[in-house]
Amino acid sequence: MSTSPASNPTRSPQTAAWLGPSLVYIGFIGIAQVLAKVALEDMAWQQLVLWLAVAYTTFSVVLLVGFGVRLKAVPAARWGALSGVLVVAIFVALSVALEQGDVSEVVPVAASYPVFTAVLAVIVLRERLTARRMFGTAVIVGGVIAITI
Amino acid sequence: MLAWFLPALGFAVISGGLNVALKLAMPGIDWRQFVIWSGLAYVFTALALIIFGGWTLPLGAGVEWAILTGALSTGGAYTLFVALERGEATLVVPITAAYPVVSAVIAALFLTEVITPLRALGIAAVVMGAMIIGREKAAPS
Repeated sequence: MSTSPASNPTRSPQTAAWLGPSLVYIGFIGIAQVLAKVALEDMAWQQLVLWLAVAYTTFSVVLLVGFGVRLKAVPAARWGALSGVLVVAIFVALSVALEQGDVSEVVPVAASYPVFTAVLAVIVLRERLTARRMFGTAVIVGGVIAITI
Repeated sequence: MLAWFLPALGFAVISGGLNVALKLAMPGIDWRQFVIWSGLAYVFTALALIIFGGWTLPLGAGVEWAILTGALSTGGAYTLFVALERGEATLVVPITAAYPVVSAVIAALFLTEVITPLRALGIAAVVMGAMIIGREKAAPS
């Protein structure tokens, strides 16, 4: 990751800007998934949702009270609200799927979400989908399936 | 089959929808508002589980891990927002999908789970895929 744009002409100068938080996200969620697995040995996923609500509420209160953050009444707020709902829906959908089926059945389907993101991003956001991105996405999805089944 | 297939497919579709919805929310809202909106959604879901499902907040074993899971999930929401703010969804999302690599390594270190040859191959594939995408040029602005 330390290769500078000057020494690597194929990498965009902006790459590090999104790659850094992406890698931190991998660390956060990768560890969270292991901790959730440990927690779910002693509680149901519905009870874990209650604790997630406590955590999110605590951070929200800190932002609202401690830092004076306010929800803006702007057009984009509807997408923000939808995003919040989808965050919870993702957790519930995966929990229900894993409750009803084996990991080896659920994971290959669930791991395909970058494909759905790519399709939606091309249609809705007009992003370009290059051969490199498609190939890289396919390799990652295949790798994730191999790791988790 | 439908009992697990529909929610699994729902997870994949909803995850795709979340990433696009976040891009549409930018730059009108920032990561702090996203965390608050997520908190509100969790509160309403928790209330529904308590009122209609009779679920209660467990206070015994596993609570410390549940709290840490919540804290890391909130951190994940923040970093996902920032990453999508700075890069295109088709670049960022495949990279963020690589989190099972960290899970596999952590589970091997602390839960005595085994990294089988297939898992090692999967980890190598994910790293290779991330490197392929990481070398992609950004779209001209």
